[in-house]
Amino acid sequence: MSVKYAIALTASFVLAGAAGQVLAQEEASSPGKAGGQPQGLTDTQDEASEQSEQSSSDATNPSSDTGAAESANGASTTTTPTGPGGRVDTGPAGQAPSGDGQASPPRPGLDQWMEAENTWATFNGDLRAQKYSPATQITPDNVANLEQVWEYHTGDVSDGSGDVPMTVWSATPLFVNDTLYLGTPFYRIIALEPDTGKEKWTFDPDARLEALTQPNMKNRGVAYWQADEPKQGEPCQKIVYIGTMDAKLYGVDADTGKRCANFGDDGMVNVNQWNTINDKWPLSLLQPPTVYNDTLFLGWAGKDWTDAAAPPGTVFALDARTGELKWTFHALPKEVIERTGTANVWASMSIDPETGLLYIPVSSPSPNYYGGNRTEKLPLATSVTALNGETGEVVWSRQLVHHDIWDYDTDAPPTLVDIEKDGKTIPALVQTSKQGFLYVLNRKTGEPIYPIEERKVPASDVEGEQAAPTQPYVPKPEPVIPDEWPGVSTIADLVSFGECSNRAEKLRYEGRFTPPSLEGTLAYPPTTGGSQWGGGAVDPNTGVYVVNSNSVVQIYRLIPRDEFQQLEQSGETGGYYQQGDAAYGFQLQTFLNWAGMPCWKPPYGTIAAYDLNTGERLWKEPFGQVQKYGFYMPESWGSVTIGAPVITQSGLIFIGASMDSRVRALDLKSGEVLWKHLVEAPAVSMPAVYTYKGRQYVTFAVGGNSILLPKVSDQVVSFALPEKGEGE
Amino acid sequence: MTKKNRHGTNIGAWLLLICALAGLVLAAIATFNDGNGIAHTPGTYLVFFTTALLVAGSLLLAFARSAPRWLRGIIALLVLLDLLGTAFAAYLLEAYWLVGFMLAGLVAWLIHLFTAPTKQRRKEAAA
Repeated sequence: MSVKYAIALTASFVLAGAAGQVLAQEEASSPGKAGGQPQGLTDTQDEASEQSEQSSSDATNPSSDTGAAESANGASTTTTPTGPGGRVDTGPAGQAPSGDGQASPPRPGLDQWMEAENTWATFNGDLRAQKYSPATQITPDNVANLEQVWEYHTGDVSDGSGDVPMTVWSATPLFVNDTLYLGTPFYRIIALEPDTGKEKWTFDPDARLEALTQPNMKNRGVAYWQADEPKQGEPCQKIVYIGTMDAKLYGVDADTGKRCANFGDDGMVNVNQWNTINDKWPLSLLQPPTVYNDTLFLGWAGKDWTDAAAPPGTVFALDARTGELKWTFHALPKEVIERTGTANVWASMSIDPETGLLYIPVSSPSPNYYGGNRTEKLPLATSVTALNGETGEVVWSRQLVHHDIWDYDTDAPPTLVDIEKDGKTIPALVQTSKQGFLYVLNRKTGEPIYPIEERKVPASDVEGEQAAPTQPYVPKPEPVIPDEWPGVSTIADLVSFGECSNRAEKLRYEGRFTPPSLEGTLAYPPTTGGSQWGGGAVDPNTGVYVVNSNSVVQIYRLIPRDEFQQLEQSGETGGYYQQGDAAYGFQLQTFLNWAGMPCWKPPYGTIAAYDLNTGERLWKEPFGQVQKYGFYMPESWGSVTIGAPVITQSGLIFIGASMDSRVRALDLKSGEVLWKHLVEAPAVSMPAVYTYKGRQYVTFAVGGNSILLPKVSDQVVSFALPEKGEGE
Repeated sequence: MTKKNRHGTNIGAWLLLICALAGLVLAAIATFNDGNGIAHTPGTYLVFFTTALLVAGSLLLAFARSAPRWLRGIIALLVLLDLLGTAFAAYLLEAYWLVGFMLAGLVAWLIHLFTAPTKQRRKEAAA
């Protein structure tokens, strides 16, 4: 037995398994949701298996049935079917779809401010979700000298011990307009000096601090817009936006923090006015809107696993100046929304500024683990879909999971990048997924650049369920997690006197896409992924793509309704979910032994780099460290991560994300950790990398996430190289 | 054997006591110094407690020389376990200075083991 192994064994006894515990909570606190199902244009699902009554219309050839209707607020709208099973309502400020499925060309010269090299103007750094900075001041050679230059505390933090629920803060700071903008989990906006952290102004909407849809107070930051030609002296030529859990979107002047009177009702748009179907909870605006062409594109998050018929998935396009509705995209057909819902977009989106296409990651339909009451094709659910940003009509869509009964929401914005393959430049996108695949598609057509195979998958043995007979499988690039679950951990099995292996033998497991079952299904990957909402980063010059991922095993068990009700009456609640009035409730457990140790082999989290031009994986390393009770587990075990990497042109990766409350810089060529720094909690946001007055800064919002640790913070911390002469 | 030991002084136990006291201080810093990533965690409270026990054990080894041999043996064994356990916990806490002092304490413990004045030695020294 090696020393490391001995250490690991003993550590395991002591630590009792941080990684797994953590993961069980992921679903409960994962942001809103969608469910998933059938395909898009490129559907290859076996016809014999299709039980749908609903026809699967070709996304490029949407029906032209168009009708006028009254919206909830009395404004006239036009409804146009689009894509396979979707429709779009054109609002008073919108432009009706042409009906030909083609995106309008972009208006030239717009949003140049978004393309500035030194800024970090959006959640993902730019519209293409590349998470890439052309900054070169900090390099692999000097990154070890990086030092903290300022720190700021927002004050908006709660550990849940008082009246306010625990905070989960994943906000990317924005640097634009010579200002650093932050959104907080109490839904305040804070403007800071980018080089000192000195406060410029704050805006407080006095939002309800209640966990209306999520178990925690959540926020992923703010969005910024500015007029193409701002008029001097006029307010609100530049606007910062923040959404709240109770579906209010605020717009304030970016220079003063004052409400923009012309935006909605005195600076506020109540998005819940459009929540008219299955409106059991508000459409929580936790992810900041995506901004392009004077338009805000807005998805929402919901409440997981409680309802069968939940609010059906929508994306809103609003006028950035006035908040007026341009269009509403619906991902689910009208015919099914009495029995299902969600298929919403809770993660970030990306936009190709050269084509005007909006790329949306659509989540799975409700209820998430049983599809017996939604057996129709729902082609836009669990998909990546391209919309015409002007009209909201579907240009193409590719379903990533058919008849999703694993809660495999498409959960991150696709990264847009041109790749070189076979001597040609191909406009590509890379879509990460909970199921661990990297889908590399032509972003203009949705066609795969590396083949996607339709493989047979196990059938469901649950009465009423009709699992899809095949699922899309991506052999290349190599999935971020292995095909087979890692197997029973010897240490955990020894500690539990064989409990882990005994349980594993009794669970149903037939590889990926094994359906949930009554006896319990070993789910790998489960709803925690795979890859999470941060997605990956790319160096557009080299085509090197980096993504962090989780290796977690959970147990999915369906519980017949009468048995579920008995459990409820007995007060049993932990890990059980209602799924509305579906035939089955649901139990979710992370596969742990009695001591709380993960029953599967590490590593629990990795980071990997791929060459998109060849599809080959360049390297893969365990990333981060599990921390429990203060103890750090071996580095080779890695850590479950939440957050995302950022790449710089100089060849560095900056990332927080791990349980051990450290932020790190890695060598893009090898994955080697070149620098790390302790912060107050897990930095579950992606950093902003920007240059101001000739100095490059890397700034993290350090918020923590109860999924990783019950450790929260309100810290904003910025790093830079020492200035010349400093310390001499 | 050193001159001091010929007079009945237990240098190993005294060195151990110094290491234990240093360990206690480091454990206190780890436990109460916010912002170190491990403060106020069960792990640091554990090493704070075990280093305090180590101080007590070292004092017993240093001063309870007239105790029965079996009792001194048990105390020495418990001190050894404390040293090893604390060092391991400190390793997992990545509190490497504390690991270092526990390893130094181990050396002191070995010195004590091989050089501590036994009753016979003390009689010889008195004669």
